[in-house]
This record gives sequence, C-alpha cells and structure tokens, in this order.
Amino acid sequence: MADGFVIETTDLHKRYDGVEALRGLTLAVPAGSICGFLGRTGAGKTTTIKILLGMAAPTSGRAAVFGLPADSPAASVDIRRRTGFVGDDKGLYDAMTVRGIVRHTASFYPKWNREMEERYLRRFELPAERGIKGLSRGMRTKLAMLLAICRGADLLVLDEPTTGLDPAATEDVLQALVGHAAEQGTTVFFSSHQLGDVEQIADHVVIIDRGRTAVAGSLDDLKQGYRRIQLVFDGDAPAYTFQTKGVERVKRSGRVMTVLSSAGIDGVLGEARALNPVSTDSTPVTLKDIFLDTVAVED
Amino acid sequence: MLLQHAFLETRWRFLIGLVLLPVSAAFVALGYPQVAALTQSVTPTPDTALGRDIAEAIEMAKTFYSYVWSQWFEQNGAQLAAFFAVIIGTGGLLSQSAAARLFTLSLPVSREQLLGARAAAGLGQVLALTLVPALVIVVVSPIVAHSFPVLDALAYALCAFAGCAVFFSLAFLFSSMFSNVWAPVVLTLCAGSALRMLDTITNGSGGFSLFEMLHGESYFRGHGLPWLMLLVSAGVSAALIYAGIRHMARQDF
Amino acid sequence: MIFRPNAASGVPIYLQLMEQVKHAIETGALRSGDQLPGIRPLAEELVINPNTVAKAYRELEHEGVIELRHGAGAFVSGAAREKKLTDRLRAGQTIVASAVDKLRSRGVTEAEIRRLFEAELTKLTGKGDQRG
Repeated sequence: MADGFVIETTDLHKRYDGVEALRGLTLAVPAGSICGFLGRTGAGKTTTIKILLGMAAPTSGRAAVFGLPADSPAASVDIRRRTGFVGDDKGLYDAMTVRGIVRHTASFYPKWNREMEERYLRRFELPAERGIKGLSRGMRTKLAMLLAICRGADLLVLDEPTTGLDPAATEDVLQALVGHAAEQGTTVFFSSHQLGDVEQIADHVVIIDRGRTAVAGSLDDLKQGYRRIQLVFDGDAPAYTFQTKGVERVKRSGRVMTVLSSAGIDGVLGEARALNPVSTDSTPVTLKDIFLDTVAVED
Repeated sequence: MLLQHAFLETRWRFLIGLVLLPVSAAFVALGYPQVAALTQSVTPTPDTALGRDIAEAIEMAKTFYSYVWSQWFEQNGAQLAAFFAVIIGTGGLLSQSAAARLFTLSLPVSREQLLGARAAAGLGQVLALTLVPALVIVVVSPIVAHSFPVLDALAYALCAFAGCAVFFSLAFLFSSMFSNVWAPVVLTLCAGSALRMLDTITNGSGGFSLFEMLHGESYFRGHGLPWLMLLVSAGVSAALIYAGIRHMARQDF
Repeated sequence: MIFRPNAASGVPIYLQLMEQVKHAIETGALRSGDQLPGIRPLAEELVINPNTVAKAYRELEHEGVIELRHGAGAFVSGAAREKKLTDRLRAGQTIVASAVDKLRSRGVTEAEIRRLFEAELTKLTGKGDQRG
C-alpha cells in the first residue's frame, strides 16, 4: 500500500438548491488507517462521501481519492473500481437472492476474490439461496459488506454501517472490518453516529461540523490531548480566564470549576494550582466528550 | 454484466409483453375464420360513421392478409407495442429505489455506459416485442389454412420497431428529467396523442406520419418500405436517447 | 487472551492491552518463551485497530516484557527479565494493597479510592514525567 493519503479534500464546497452543504471542507485520510467520520446529522457527511464517489460534483474545491480527481468522470470510474462502498440503503436488490447479487456484482470487478466470497458467506452465515427480501437488517449489512470486501478494493467507504444493528451484529461487522483491514492493508473510511464503535476500531478521526472540518487527527493524539479537570474550592469557584491555549470550556457551579482542554494540560494545571483549589481531579475524556464539545455549540 | 443489469431492471415489463403480444397476435390470426364468416352475414348502412367503419372492416376482412394487417399491424399490435415501448422506456436511475440507485451508481462504469446499456437493452426488448408476434402470426396462420409471408412479417415488424423506438426514446429522455416513474409515461402518451391529432389534421402530411410508418402503411399499399421515414425516425430516436444520456451525465445524486 | 478492551474508559486501549499481557505473565498464564497471538488475529479477536495491537507490542518490547522476532512473531521475554518485572510488580502490589486497606478502614469508598489514585497520577504527569 503506497504511503500518503488515500482520501484528500481541499476547501471543498457544495451547494444544493441554495443550501450550502459543504463550506470549505479539508481533510486527509492516511493510507492503511481506519478513519471514523463523525458529525451531526446534516453536517455534510453523506454529501462528502457522494462527492468522493462521483455521485455528485463539487461546487468548488478539490477532492481526490488515490490521488485521482473525484470530479473527473473518467477518473471516478477508476476510483470506484478500487473502492467498496456500503451506503445507507446498502445497495441491495430486493428481488434477487444472496447468491444472485453476489454473482451479479462479481461480474463487474475483474479482481473479485472467489475464495474470499466463500469464506465470508460462511463466516457471516448468509444463506446463499435466500431472497434478499427475507434477510434481517444485520444480514443485509453483512451481505453489503461482503459485496464491498470481495471486489479487491483498496478503500472501503461505509456510511453508517452499524446504525440500527443489534450489538452482536455490530460486533460481527466491526470484526470483519478490522480483520479485513489488517489482512489486506485496506484503508477504511466510515461515517458513524456510534461513537463507541469509532472509539473501538478507528485510529484516525475526522469530525465535520456545518460543512467544515472541526477536528481531524489520530485518535490516540486526540484523546491524549483532551483532559477534563475538576477543581473544588473552599469558597465559590473564582471567575478566572485561563491563559493557556487549548482550554475549550470552563464551567463554574458553586464551589466546583470544570475545565476541558484539548491541549496544554501542563499549563492548565499550573494555572489551576495557582488558584489554590482544595482538590484537583482528573477524569478521562471519551470520544463522546470531544464530539459534544466540538459540535454542540449553541446555534 | 451491464446489459444484464439493465435488462434485469425492466424484465417484468418485458416478459409480460412477451407473453401478451404474441398471444394476442395468435388470437388475431386464429380468429380469422369466425370474422370471415361474420362479415358474410352483415350488410352495413354506409350513411353513418359507424356504418362506414364497419364497411371498411368488412373490406379488410375480405382477405386474410389485409385482415391481419388491419387488425394487428395497424391497430392492436401497434398500440400494444407502442405502449410497452413507453413503459419500458421509463424508469432508470431517477425513479429507482435508493438501494438500487446506490448499487448502480457505485459501479465502476461511466454514466454514459450505464445509460447506453439501458437504452440498448430497452431497444432490444422493444425489437423482440415487435418481431416475435409477427413471426408468431406466420407460424400459426397455417392452422387456419392460411399463410402470411415471412418477408412481409419482417417488413412490418421493422416499421413497427422504428416507430416504437421513437416512443421508447421519448420516454427515455423524459425519465432522465423526472424522478416520478409515471411522468414520462403520461408525457409520452400525450406527445403521441398530439402527433396523432396532427396526423388527422394534415392527413398524413405527405408521407411523414410517424403512425403511418409504424403501421407499415406504405408497404401494405405496395409502395415498399418507407426508407426515408425509417431513417428519420432512427435519427430522432438516437437524438432523443443522446439528449437523455447527456442530461443524466451531469446529474447530482 | 480473552478480555474486552474498554474503548471509553479513558485508558488508551494499547495500555489496557499491555496490562493484560503483564497480568497474564504475572499469573503464569503466559510463560517465558511463549508466543503471543499475531497482531492481525489478536486485533480481529478483540475487535480493535491492528495499529493499536502493534503499538502495545512495541511498548512491551521497549519495556523488555516481550521480544519481537522478525518474521516469527512476539514472544515473552527470558526468565531474568520476567522475574525482575514480576518482582517489581509484586512489590508494587503489596504497597497498593496496604494503602487500599488503610483507606478502606477510614471509610473511603472504592470509587473515591480510584479517584484519589487518578488525581495523584495526574499530578505526577503535571509535574513532568516521574515514571519510575
């Protein structure tokens, strides 16, 4: 797998009927990573994915996959040949059987892996002769994943793959993603509302808010940087503005001051101790905290 | 794969037509003895419109050939084939379910290839729907102790195909503009009716009637195949399909 | 190696994994010379990112707990290192056990004890690295 970025956008804009879905989105997904794409509903996740796959054209800005321009129809065909996509509606024909749609999909991809197909059919316990109409939601997702994985793709793009799935099915899907990524070095780019899933398997994260990148980077770095400190004071918590950069939120409630910082924890602690608190407490910050902090700004 | 994909999309409409049309054609041919017997015993009054229609029908029923042409290639067959051409022409990406659309759009093919395949598959189906019933007539005619020349059947089928192709292409173009699957059907049928009316007003406009060509009227009257009209309608169909493809190529989803 | 890493616990998953390996060595479930699961199979079994497993293994190697043999896999280190590790941890365990006992006898609850340790560790990080 080549070094560099598999997905890159630069100042991407998209306007639909006067609505600005994307307002200058810039992101980069490293090759071989599992990248979680988070954002509130309507923030622009699906729009971004559509542009990357050539289903919609950007209004301005650049989007590239495998270094190829996503808005060039010819290059887009190449991109789609090397990409497996599992979207919201899974892309499954109700009227076909499992075997039917597998064979039909396989006919479009010269690199289709027959052995992998058999392996995943067994692993996902998909009944080959059953009609797709009769499959549960979890099985439909697994089938869609099989179709995306077996084509020998270098990139897997998934739009909310585990939404609506029970925990067992979710685990199956995540496990297949992780296993396949490890085995083939495939890059995985998936949008999700299930922060727990992202936290579990992603090593990179992009948070989009109102059409722009709010946060992007390695998940470990992000979580290392973010800290929540709780200071308890003898009297009321003082009204203090922290000088250290990276302080995201300061909340005061009676004798308690809570500080959320995304960086510069040393500086923050130094300043905090100078305020003479009775106790200093540090609580771990989850991806959910980071997400809510980044996007839940009052409109 | 792409052609198969396109064919799958319209397979039910096509299969229903593939059963309905040949069976109807067979019935037309096989019904001749009864019709012939019936017309012997009827003397129409030529001073009413209905009377004139009946007189015309009796005239047509005088020979097997003219009966078959009048009943199938001029009327029932033409109407059925045109109708199926329209309902096969509609559909496509805009009106598909989200799941089907997703599958199709994520395929490693260009929009042009996708729509080209849909047009090719559709036209192939329309061709089958004009050819098979004609051949069925040839095959079943001996059952009622008559015969219909294969060459003529092919000629009429060609004219019908050329005419139906225009209807198909019109529905195809409209389907690239509207996400409702019925809008193209309604619009095409309206366009067809308008053309029909134009025909009756201008009385065939000197051989440039789409419907006359569709019916193979020129061939029936012994003037041979209407080559100019066939070419013109081929050109019109191609232009309509091309416009549909261009329009879809730039569509955002 | 059956355990469920807790992604939302605040402790990075690679650290949790390292703890599990060390714990396994301590209790004798893993012995010197034993081979650890491969990165890919382990990532798949635990449903975590393979890079996370790789990072944990790298850190364990850095601490001398395991050896990464090129092409062969990851193996638990030789006895001497293991003993040093186990001794250090045993000593630590004794200290922690007595501290926890004392706190409990003062009526400090389990959750409070955990917070005290967290706060203390945070202070340490704040003063600069004082890892022993």
